Amino acid sequence: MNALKLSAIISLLALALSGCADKIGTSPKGLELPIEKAALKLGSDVKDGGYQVVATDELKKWYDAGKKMTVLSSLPAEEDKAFGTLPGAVNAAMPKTEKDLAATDTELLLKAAGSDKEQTVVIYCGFVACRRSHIGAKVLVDNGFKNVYRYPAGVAGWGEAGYPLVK
Amino acid sequence: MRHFRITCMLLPLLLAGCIGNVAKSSIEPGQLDVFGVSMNSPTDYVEIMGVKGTDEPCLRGKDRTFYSLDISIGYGRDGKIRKITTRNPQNSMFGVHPGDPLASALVKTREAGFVENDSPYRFRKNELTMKLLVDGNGELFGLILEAVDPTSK
Repeated sequence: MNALKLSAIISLLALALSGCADKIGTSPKGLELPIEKAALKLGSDVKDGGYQVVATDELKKWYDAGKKMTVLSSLPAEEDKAFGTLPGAVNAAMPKTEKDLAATDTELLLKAAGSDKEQTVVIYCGFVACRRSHIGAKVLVDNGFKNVYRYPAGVAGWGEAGYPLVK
Repeated sequence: MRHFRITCMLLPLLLAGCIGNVAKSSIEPGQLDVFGVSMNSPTDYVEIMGVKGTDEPCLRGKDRTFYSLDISIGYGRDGKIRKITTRNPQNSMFGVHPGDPLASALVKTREAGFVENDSPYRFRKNELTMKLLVDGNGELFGLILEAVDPTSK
């Protein structure tokens, strides 16, 4: 009888575990709805902002090839210190919403981006759903920068890929 | 080794406690008037003045925005309020209202004990920062009050 119970428990456990392994979706961890929300917002922001995007692997190739580019972190300076930055990144903190954009934010961003408007500029923040990098990229485009790239995955994606963050 | 592990586990909790307590002690009663929202409070504001909040993730927790009220509350991972943003002229922080003349706002901010920090219109008092949001015409349109992580000094 005990052997029967044990067998039943083992069978149920195996079923439960196999259920976990069969999780479907964009990420093996699930969370399809926030991914959809972030993806839709990213798509509309990119269309609205007039900039380009760069994926993690491509950006890593740019680093490895020594591509000449300015990398800007649009996170608050405190977050850069706490989480680290992409190699060589300069801080140019942006607000989370367009409505909170102050004149000093724009001034500091343009100063950090430099005077060469043909230069490739990559701007990032925390993760795909973070819109600080969108706001910064749009300000750069609006101020005549020609090669602006938003790196949507940000520090979360760069770290997840196992690439170094500088503290 | 076991003591080291326990210390490592407790240290972030102690530091988190420091942020909240210092932030709270830097604000005297009546200095913050943002629909009753206070720093370091664990209150989960689902709705304010009949307006429901919308959550957005952030690196240290989440931000809850009440769009028609022009306010946003930042919650830390411990569920306590660590950041308050307002563009609502009905609100005030240390006597400063969004929409006030910039010159008087600067005076009030300094009188409240804040000193200029690393960037323009950003002030610090103990473990608190206050940013005055100023547009290209020199108009004060908003305020951000935030508890600073002591490890980022």
